[in-house]
Parts: sequence; C-alpha cells; structure tokens
Amino acid sequence: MAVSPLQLAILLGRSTRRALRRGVPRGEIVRQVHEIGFRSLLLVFGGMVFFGAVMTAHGAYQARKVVGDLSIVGPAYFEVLIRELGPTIAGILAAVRIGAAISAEVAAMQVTEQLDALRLSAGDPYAEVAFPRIVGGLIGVPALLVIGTAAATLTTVVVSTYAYGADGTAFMDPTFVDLGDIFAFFAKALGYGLAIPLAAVQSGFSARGGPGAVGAATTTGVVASCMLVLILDLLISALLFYTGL
Amino acid sequence: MSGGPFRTIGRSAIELANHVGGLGLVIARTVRALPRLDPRELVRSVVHFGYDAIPLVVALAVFIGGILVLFANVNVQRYGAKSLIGWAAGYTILREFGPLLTALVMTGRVGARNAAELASMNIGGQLEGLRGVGVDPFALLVAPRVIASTIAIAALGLVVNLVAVFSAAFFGQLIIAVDPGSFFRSLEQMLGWRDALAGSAKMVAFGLTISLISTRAGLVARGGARAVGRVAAVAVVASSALLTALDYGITVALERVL
Repeated sequence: MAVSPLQLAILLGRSTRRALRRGVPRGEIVRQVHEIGFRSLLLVFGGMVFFGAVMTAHGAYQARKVVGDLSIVGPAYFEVLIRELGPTIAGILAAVRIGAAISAEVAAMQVTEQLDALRLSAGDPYAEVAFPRIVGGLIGVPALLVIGTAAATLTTVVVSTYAYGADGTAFMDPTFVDLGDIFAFFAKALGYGLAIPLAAVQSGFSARGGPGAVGAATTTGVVASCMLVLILDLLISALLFYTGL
Repeated sequence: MSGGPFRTIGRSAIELANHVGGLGLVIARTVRALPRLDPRELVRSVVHFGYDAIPLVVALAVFIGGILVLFANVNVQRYGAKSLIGWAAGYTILREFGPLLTALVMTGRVGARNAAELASMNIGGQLEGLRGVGVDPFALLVAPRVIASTIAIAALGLVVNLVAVFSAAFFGQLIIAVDPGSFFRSLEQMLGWRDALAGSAKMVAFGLTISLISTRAGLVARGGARAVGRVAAVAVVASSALLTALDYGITVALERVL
C-alpha cells in the first residue's frame, strides 16, 4: 500500500512547517472546510439516520429475546453511541466521501502536472494543497461527527417510539454519559479529522502515470482512510479502557 | 435561478430517472450477456477483486473484532454479564458490523477500482474498439466484472465474519480477560445458522449494489484523468449512500424471516 504511518507523519510535519513559514492560506482553508465538511453532510447525515434506525431494529429484536422492554437498554445504548458507534460509523462514512474526493482531486493535479506547475511558479504543494485540506479535515470532520451522532440519536428516539411503541426518550437519557465518553468522542473525532485528509493527500501525491493512476490513487485513498479510522478507533478505545476513562 | 423550485424538482426527477434507467440497462445487458460470459475474464476478475483483497479484509476483520469486543464490553461491565460477551460481540459482528463495515471499505477497494478501470478503458477508446471489431464488451468485459465483484464481496464478507469472531475472542482475552472457552460457549449457545445466513444475505445484496453502481459509473465516464477520479469518487459515495439505506431495509426484512 502506498500509504504508511511514517509517510503520513512526514507529510503532516512538512505541510505544517512550510505553511507556517509561508503564511497560512486562510481563504483556501475556509474553502476546504466547506468542501470537506459541508459537502459530506448529506452522506453522513443520511447514512447516520439509517444507521440509527438499523440499530433500533437490532435492539428491538434482541430485546424481544432477552429483556422484553426496548427502553431498558436505552441509556446504555446512548453511551455506546457517543463513545463508539457514532464517531466510528460517521467517521467511516466521512472517510469514504472525503478520502475519495481529496485523493481523486490531488491525484488528478499530480498526473496532469499541475503540482509541478505550482512548484515552478514558486508555489508549494505542501503548504498550498496539503495543509488547507488537513486543517479542513480537523475542523470539518468533528463537526460532521457531532451532526451524524445527533442524527442517529434522534432517529433512534423516533423509530423506537413510533415503530416499536417503546419509550423512545430513554435513548437520549444521559444517565450513563460522563466526561470520559465525551472525551472519547472528541479524541476520536480529532484523530479521524487528521488521519483522513493525510491519507488521501498522500495517496494523491504518490499517483504516477495516466488516467489509470488517478483511479488507483482514489482506491488507495478511500481504503487507507477507512482503515485508519478503524485502527484509530481500536487504539483510542483500548487506551481509554486501560486508563479507565 | 429561473423557474425556482419546480425547475430543481424537474431536474432531480430527470436525473433520478437517468440513474435508475442506467442501472436497469446495466442489469439487463449483464443478464443478456450471461450465456456468452467470458470465463477467463470472470476468473481473472474474481482474483483481482477478491483474492488480492484477502490481506486487506483480514486486517479489517482483526480491527472489527477488537472494536466490537470493546463496544460489547461497555454494557457487559455495567450489568456484570461477562459470560454474554461472546454472544453480544458475535451477534453484532455477524448481523451488522461485519457486513456493513466490509461493504463500506469495499466501495473503495472494489467499487472505486472497478469504476476507475472501466472509465479508463472507456475514455481510452478500448470499449469502442471492442465494438468496432464486433466483440460485445458486455460479454467480454462488463458482465464478468459485475458477477465477479459481487462474488468477491460476498466471499470476502464471509472471511471478515469468520476472522472477526476469532479476533473478538482474542481481544476479549487480551483486553478484558474473558476466557475464549466461555466466549465461544455463549456464541455457540445463543447464535445459530440464522445469524450467519442473515449476514451472508446482506453481503450478497451489498456486493451487487457496489458492483452495479460502479459499473454504471465507469461506463458513462467522459473526459480525461480528472473524469476518472471523479467517476471513482462518485461510485464510492453513491454506493455507500445506498448501502446504508439498503442495510435498514434488509435488517427489518430479515428480522421478520430469519
């Protein structure tokens, strides 16, 4: 695979250093927040609405078997949604959309020699192409995850009330939600927000060849972003489990 | 914009009809090409989409197993029901997260790849060339890819489910000290062929969705390098959007019958 953790660390360091030295491209960052955050909203929001409904269906199925009343599992489910499922499923959906968009765009720039042209005109692809996308991800992805998790929560409340006749408000009962859960949510959100654009930009930069290379870079970008989300999820969850948060 | 909302509604309706019609055409021409399917291309595509992705899905499954054990653990610790963790992790892996997460990663590994390769061939004039020498590109190239990527995704889903269950048992032992014996006991007692079958049915539906959408996206590509990237990205986004919706429909339907 064309994306390794070491390469991502180098990409992050180089982009940040060069952007700080050359002046942070504010306008481009705003454009990237719009591109990464707003334009992924439909997929993340819609996906999480359906995901909330799916989880309610599973909960109802299991509740029939074990406890009998769906709303008993509500508060615990809400905690898991904030801590694990919300950030990760929304994160994968964001990774799919953002990973594909950024790697396809950057790879097309690379194979059509636009990045070389930028270098020749005294520009710097690290400062002007990579850095705004990384910052855009850091701002856009956590926002997407908050909206996605809220969407899944509200869907669960509505579906469990109207489709399964349970007391749906149990699914937004924050009894079990503590600071550790909120911390886990944002640790994951920031981790994904950093990792997704890094992996996508890296696979775009590594594209070599003709139109086929753009397709290959897009594939790598999507797969690497998704895998990084899952790897970070496991790492952060395990770490928080050991530290008892 | 002139015309206001009606114009937008009309445009979206035409676009929707275009997409549905396009998918219908891909399905119809694939079915018609089935008797003349090129077996060599079919095998080659299964290897390309399926076999070559095995290392990726094994890694994917290892992480899914670990994540779901930690997820199940949140409730298990609260209610002190450690003996149920095999069931809780197994159920969520087999019925929901194994198929869903595999399919979402496969929109990239198989969907984006298929769309990009077909788009490059399309833009490079190779599909036209085949037609020019009297070969039906659907029988030779397109239909084998549709069938092969569906088979590949469904089979990879099985690999994920199997490996993820073992990975869950491993991480259960490593992180929360659940003895693998009791993990598999609760798995065996409370899960059955129904759960495995439900997951497999989902994977087949997801595989078909990804392969049809990516094939159609690749076949309509026009332009240069930029178009190939755009087509691959569109295929990924469209199939993952459809997957989440489909997931709900299948889950509700399956829980009635299985």
